Amino acid sequence: MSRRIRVALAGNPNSGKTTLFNAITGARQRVGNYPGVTVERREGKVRVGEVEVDLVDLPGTYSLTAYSIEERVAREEILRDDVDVVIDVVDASNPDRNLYLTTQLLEIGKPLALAWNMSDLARAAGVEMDLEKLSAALGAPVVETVGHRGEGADRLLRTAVEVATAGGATPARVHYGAELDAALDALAGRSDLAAAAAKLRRPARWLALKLLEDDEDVAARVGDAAMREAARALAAPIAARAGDRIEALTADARYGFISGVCRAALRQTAQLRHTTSDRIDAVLTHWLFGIPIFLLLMFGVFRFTFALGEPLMGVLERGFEWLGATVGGWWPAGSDSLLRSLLVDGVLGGVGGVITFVPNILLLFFAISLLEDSGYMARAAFVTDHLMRKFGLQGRSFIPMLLGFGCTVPAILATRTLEQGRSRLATILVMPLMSCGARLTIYMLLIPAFFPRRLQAPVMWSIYVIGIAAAFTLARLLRWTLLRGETHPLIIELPPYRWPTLRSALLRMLTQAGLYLRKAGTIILAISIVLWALTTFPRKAVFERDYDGEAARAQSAYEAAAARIFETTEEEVASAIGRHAELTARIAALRAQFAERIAEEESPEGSPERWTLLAARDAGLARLREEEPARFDRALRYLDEALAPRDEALRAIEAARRMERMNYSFAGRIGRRMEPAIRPLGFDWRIGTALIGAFAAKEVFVAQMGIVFSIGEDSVAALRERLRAEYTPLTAFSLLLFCLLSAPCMATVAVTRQEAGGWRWAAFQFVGLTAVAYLVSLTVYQIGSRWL
Amino acid sequence: MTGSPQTSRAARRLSDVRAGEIVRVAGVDSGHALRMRLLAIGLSPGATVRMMQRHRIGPCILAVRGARLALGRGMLSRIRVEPVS
Ligand SMILES: Nc1nc2c(ncn2[C@@H]2O[C@H](COP(=O)(O)OP(=O)(O)OP(=O)(O)O)[C@@H](O)[C@H]2O)c(=O)[nH]1
Ligand SMILES: [Mg+2]
Repeated sequence: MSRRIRVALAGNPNSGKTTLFNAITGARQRVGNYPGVTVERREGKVRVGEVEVDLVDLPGTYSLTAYSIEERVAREEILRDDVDVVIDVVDASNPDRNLYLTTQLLEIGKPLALAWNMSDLARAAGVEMDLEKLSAALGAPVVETVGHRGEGADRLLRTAVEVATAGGATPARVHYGAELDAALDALAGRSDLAAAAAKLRRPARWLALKLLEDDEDVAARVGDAAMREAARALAAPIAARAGDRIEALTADARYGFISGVCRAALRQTAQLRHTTSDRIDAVLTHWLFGIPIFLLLMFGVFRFTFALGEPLMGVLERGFEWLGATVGGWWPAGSDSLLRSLLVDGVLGGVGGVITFVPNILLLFFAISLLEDSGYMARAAFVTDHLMRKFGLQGRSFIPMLLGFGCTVPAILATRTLEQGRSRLATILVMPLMSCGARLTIYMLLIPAFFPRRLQAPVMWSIYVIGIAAAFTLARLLRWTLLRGETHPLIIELPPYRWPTLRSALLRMLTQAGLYLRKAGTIILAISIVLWALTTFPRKAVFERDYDGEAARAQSAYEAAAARIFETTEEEVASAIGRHAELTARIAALRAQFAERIAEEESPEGSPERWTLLAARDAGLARLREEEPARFDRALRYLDEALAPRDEALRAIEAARRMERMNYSFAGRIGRRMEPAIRPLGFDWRIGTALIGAFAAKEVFVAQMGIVFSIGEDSVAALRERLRAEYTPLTAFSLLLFCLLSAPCMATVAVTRQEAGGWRWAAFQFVGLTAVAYLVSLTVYQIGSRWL
Repeated sequence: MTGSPQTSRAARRLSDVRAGEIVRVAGVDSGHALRMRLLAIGLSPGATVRMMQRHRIGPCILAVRGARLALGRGMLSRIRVEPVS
């Protein structure tokens, strides 16, 4: 007979719940060495023999009295009636504190199994443990596990199933001292309380305890004033005699119970857990060096991303160039096939352009995940707390904000670790200003197109810094106006530092790559095709100019010029060109090679470096002339006076034809409508349509630029060249700012609505950020075009 | 706020504790939610606390029950402490 059971993974933050969840179910949920990685419930299924297990991974929680949103998620799940067993994941290297939740789980009487996780660390610290004794003292089975190596995971699961099917041991009873125990017995013995407890399906003693502790939540659910009064009458003298509140006394008793258990079952032979960590902290959280070190680390993350990303990008770029040429080659040259246009311009030009930049995004995630695994994130919250408070935010806001450099959606979810309130809301609202990985594609396309190499890095930095500055400024303004109020004080646990493992960072990157390819293959592809269709239809059949005729005239002018240069007849010109073809190609290659080097070096005109290069080029040309004295001059003249003008003319004709077509298309008509609004920012209608597409996903901007400017060859380099021909660096900078600040993407709007609690805030964020973007770009462009 | 007379009179606060000093928690003056949180992370009466880092401004780092906690100043001033005997 098959059975289905529900098992919940509970435990303190950072005790390894998700690691065990992944080990048991084979899932790849995020783990990291700081409290608050998991903020949502996640379910997985496994089979144990005949039993089907629904395993639920939960956010960490310190107790069953929820404090923040993610703790509430955990508590609700743990207390659900259909949860058959709770696996309490305990960090064995810190049992004193971790067992506090365990005592609460014992009190509430849920069938319980313990995962004695991180036992490798406990052993390394020299703790000798007797799990038999531990299990007996707690009244629950205890299984030793090492989460990241999967050790004990199987046995843990089987133990949980056993508890569910065969029933567990009797949970140990925590004693709270003679007086409180007597009061508990008196309360629990009341018949009305027993009835209320049965209705809540909780043990009577637990209900009595909660009433004595004056737990608002539970009291409200019982709703019986008489019982509450009785509890108060019993509690008051005890509290007065002890000089403290009942909940402090019970907490003290729980910790007492824990130290009893630990004394019986564990022997601490050394205290090593934190010594190295404390030494590292003396430097990393130093009052003076803390912030500079933090900035340096962030700088390192981005340097790493770009340094490693560039060569990978080159590889992908060449791959797509090749693919575009191959696919394009299936049709005869100059073909007007719609399918060709869809594949080459729409799909390869659009999605291909985006995928080219993916290595950078993945590396960024890789670097962030190294930070997450090291334990530094919690320190970043500590180090920045004081500064963040000046802006109405808090140190804990910083962890989500760092994640925001990867993707805004999980970053907004991560704000669940903050206390519900105005400071959290402000964090959510400004989150899109932490420039995400998707927007990186836009910068990677535009910055190298418009800025000389030596300015590229500074421009990129300035974009990120402007985003952060805008986030802080807006947060401050919000907290002074709409979201005025207290900021919750900092409380965060600092886990011991750990070496991040390459394996987990790589795994994380692979998972991210999978997600990314899916995004590219679904939403980005779909929107690209829509945008392609919008820029292609309706097709113009009759053009205002006779482009074919103009092209033919350019061709015959070219032939006439060539005949003149080679001093032959028009009939023989083809063979004359053929005879000179190889030499022509060599001259052209030599020039192109030096042009490229000059562009790369960026030595200013008239500088010695430039002069050296030019001299080298002329020497090369002179050598060619010596080799081919009879033909060289003619080949050179042919190149400059016949071939180059023709190619130039054909390009201009083709561009004009595309322009006329696009103006006629739907996108052209829509774009033209919006052009008056964006013209003052320096944008034309093509940028306008790309910006609209970017609402679906930021990468679509790059795709649409690829579609609009595709000229049959789909390399990012060619696209950049076209962009450079069309726009000024000032327009590009204004555009970069607009993309950084403007309306967040669809997914962000949805998650903001969910987390901020309503469309109102999502709409506010959307409109507000777009207005800010508009104003900033307008100012920059208008001032720039007047004074530059 | 149910401190007994002698503790609230000369109550020293965790925010007054110097770096490196070890003290014992005597009580917590705060609302219910915050007190429950402090109790759950180990800051219950009787717990020994070592001040690990205390800068002129900003939060402090404490060692409590085998864990390291970063707590804001505002929070520290609500925790009454006494010398370890
Ligand atoms: N040495 C050691 N490290 C472990 C073990 N189990 C988990 N970890 C590491 O501990 C850290 C925290 O693990 P998570 O699984 O994210 O912890 P969690 O309980 O899900 O944390 P939250 O989601 O924040 O509540 C990660 O860096 C893991 O790699 C273990 O048994 N031994
Ligand atoms: Mg987790």
